[in-house]
Amino acid sequence: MSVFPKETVHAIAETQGITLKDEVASVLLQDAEYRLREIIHEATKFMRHSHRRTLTTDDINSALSVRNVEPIYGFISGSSANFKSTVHNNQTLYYLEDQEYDLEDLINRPLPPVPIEPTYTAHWLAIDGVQPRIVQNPTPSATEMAPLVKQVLTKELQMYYEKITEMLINDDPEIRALAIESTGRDPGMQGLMPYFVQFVADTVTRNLKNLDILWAMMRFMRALLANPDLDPEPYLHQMIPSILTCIVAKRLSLLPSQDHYALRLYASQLASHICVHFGAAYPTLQPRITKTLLRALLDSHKPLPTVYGAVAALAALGTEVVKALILPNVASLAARIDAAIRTADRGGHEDAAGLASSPEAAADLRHDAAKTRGIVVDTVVRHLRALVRDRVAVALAAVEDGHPAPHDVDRTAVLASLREQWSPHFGSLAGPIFEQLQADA
Amino acid sequence: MPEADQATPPPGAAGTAHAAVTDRLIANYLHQRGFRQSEMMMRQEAQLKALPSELLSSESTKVDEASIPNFILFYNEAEANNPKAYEQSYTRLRKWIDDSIDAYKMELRVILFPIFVHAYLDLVEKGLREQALHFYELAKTDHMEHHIQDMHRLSGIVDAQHMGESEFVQNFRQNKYGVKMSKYAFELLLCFLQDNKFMLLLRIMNQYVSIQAVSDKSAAQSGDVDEGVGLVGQQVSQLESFNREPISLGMLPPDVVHLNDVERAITLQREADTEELKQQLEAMIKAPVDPDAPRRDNVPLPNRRRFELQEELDHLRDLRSQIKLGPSALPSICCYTMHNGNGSINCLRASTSAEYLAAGFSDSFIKLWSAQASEPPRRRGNAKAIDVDPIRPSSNLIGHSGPVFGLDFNSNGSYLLSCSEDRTIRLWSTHTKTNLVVYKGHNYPVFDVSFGPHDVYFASASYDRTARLWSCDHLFPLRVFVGHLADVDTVRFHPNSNYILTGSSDRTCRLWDVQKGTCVRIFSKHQGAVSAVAVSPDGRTMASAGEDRVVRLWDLGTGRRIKTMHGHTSAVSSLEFSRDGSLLASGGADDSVRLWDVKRADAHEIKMETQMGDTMRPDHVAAFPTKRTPVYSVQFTQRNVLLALGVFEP
Repeated sequence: MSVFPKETVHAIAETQGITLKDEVASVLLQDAEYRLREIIHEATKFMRHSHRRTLTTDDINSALSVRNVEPIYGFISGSSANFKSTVHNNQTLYYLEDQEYDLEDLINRPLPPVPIEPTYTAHWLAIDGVQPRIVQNPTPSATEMAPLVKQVLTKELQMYYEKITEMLINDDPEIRALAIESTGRDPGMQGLMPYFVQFVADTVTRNLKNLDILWAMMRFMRALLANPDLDPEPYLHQMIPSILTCIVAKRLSLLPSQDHYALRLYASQLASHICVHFGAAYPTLQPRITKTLLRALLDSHKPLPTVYGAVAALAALGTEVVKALILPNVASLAARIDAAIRTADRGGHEDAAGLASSPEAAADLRHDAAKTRGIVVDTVVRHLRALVRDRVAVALAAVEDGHPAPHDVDRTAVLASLREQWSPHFGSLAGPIFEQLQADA
Repeated sequence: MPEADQATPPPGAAGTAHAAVTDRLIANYLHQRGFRQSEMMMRQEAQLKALPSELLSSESTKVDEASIPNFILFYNEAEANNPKAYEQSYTRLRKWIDDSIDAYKMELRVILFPIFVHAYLDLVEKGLREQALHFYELAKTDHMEHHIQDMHRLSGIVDAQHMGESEFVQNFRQNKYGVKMSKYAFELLLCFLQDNKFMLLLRIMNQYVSIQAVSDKSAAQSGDVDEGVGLVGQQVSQLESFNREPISLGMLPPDVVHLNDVERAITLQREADTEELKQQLEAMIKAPVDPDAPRRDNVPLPNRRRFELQEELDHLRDLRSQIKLGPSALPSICCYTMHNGNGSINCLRASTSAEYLAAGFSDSFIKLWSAQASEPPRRRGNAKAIDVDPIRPSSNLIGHSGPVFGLDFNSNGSYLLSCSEDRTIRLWSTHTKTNLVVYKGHNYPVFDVSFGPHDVYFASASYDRTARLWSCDHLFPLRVFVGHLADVDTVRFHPNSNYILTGSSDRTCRLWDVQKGTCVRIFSKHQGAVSAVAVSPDGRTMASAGEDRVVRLWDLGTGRRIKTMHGHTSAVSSLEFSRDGSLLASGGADDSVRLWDVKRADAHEIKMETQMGDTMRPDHVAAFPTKRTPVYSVQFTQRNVLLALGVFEP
């Protein structure tokens, strides 16, 4: 029954020089425990009325005094009593160390500092029910925010999320395709959007050399964008970086020989899709994307695959972008491609990336150069071709309206004028470009 | 042997009845020991009926519980021959329970009622009518509050004949009365009964009471549902019928003479807003009088004096600029944070207009700040403006000789009341910063003190289990409210000044009639000491909260609970209704100020233990955490700005 062992009573009795019978001790113990409980209970009342959460020796003394018992002197509230332990007869005993003070010392000691005067400050805890964010108020803790999100997700959604993410990184392309197909159609996934977007971002950064996974991620992204029941708008700013990575990253495959160019083209289409569909809602979206791409395009230290991606993506963004950003830079691009080919021919030692130091590397470099050259030429040709068609059409329309025919109404004339205008800007690529345009005729 | 007794109604004469009981005891003893022959002989000689077999079987199970045949064990020669024994043992048991530790007192007290009922019935059964009546009168007050109906029915049973016929008695005699208590309390009780050889009581307990000793003390307390307590199919507590006494909760009718005086003065003084003031007064004079309003002279109030006119005008203007609050229009909260308290600040209080701020220290003094002397907090100002001068002019009010536990300002902030462990209440003037009066009357520490609505009366709550009513101009208490079973922790006035409300460590709140000095309502559902109570400005509802972290809202008229509001994670130390009564503010040791919607009904009071922590109930409007500052006091100003006072814990 008792919280104290009987030995306690015996020990205390011994200090007074009394030996007790066992029955006497147990009766005494019972009473002592009751009295202790009583005193502690009384003391907690005083603690409560002092609005404190710790019981102090003052409270005990108050309790003793209402019970008409002499208070216990010598214990000061505020300084915690330091109990020391010792082992006696295989039992741990706790005792208070009673230090001996030299009175002389005590008197000569400097006085303790005067306690600081209690004072108060006032601040607004709330203004019309809203807690202002000021130093005096606590900052809302992160733990309060976290459960909010958790509540939104049902168990089914969580399971669905786990299943899909698992399938997406599966080795089997068919399983991946299944997951992508499902996300393209499922109507109830809005709650999972932030998680999916985060998942894509994480996976892309962790699998930069795994072409298969990156393909899966881009297709998955496309599925999310294509799903008519999803609103990706709030998450675009998180989606764009992953897509741009797949466009302009230095490497996207384990081996340079793998066809990462197709992925870059695919991602470019995605970026263009986003700009077309959400450009109106986000006026800053396209400028941000083009700025990133242009930086990749113009930085002479960037490898050719990056240039390829940038050109492809800019080309996908429309004629205006091509005209403003690619055409003026064709010459410098041509120079870089030529330099790369020369490096490859020499055995590829000068490459900034230090990759082409072997015959295979040289071949890769040459391949990159050819690919880049291809896309640049392609882009420019397509742009100019459209331009020629437009001008001819305009001229013909004018003739039909009865205006005097301009001198370059026919195709060759238009081409000639264009050649005159652009040749100096195209550098070494001017030849192939215009040859192709001639061939069209 | 209740069944045997009822089977054979005892003869009318007292002496023979007693002999018959003894005979039966012996017969049963013989039966129990298996002395069949002797039993037969005995029964024949004493002309006793043999016990039906099915009754015998139920008998033996009961005996098994007691482990030793109880009629021998509990047979006490001294008690058996003394009809006063019941009364004496009951009185001693009651005294012992009253003197025991508060924590167990509530649990132990429950046992008194079944013991009383059965002791009374035993007396009646033995035909000792005089003694029974005397015993009833003696113990009546203990049970009137919680068992008023049972007590009335019991008082009608004065003859042994009635006992057999009364279903009510049968119910008590044939069923065990369930009681839950903690193990320690149970052991204390057993030790007490055995040490004092109260065999009569032990027998009653053994026979008619089933005590469920709950190992965990908190489990015994958390019996919000009275499952297995009391008799089956009967309400444990009949508080509702006690709470039916009519009371008049309406507002006092307007003091027309005074208001007319004010109106005349306004006309003379030609204030800028004379028209508005007059309209306000007009509305106050013509306001319909509540049908249940007490008479104005029920509690005598002094006549208003002239120099209060300016205050009256300010009050009217404040009323006009009072902000309308509601769940969608929350108040602004100004938080006063005390620093460098070193754990010695016991209580805090601001005057109604936040003009003065007082702190009571455990070092027996009171510190008084005049907020006007320093810069008031700016509403949208920068934080710096507040921190410029942390040392503010203050004065120490020295007089008490023990920790100060309670403070209260009068309505205009010119007087301050304080109460202390030194058993006194002191009245201070905030203008002269001196002690005006010392009120002595309590015999134990005084925990709380509160001014009445007209600043004439004040009430105090004390460790001595009483609340007292004082008038500022009398040195002695005018009323002593006795009835709480443990310390009275807090006290507040009803706005019509005719009632005071107390909260106590016995886990109940009581409403007292000031004029009669009697208890008129008891509110008991709390599971911990009640440390804060508040009455709504319209005088119809009250709120209570305390150690059990739950804020409860009650209807004063019916005494029923309106709803419970969960949210605080630590003890609640202060409660206050907004001036328009739409919101309730609470401050607690969990470093937060919370706002509750008073009007919204508790649509579904389902136990949501798991969600209690993370989801907010719809009536929990807002929670504002402070920075490590337990909130000691929350107060609404006249204009409905909430003041929160706390002590920073570094």
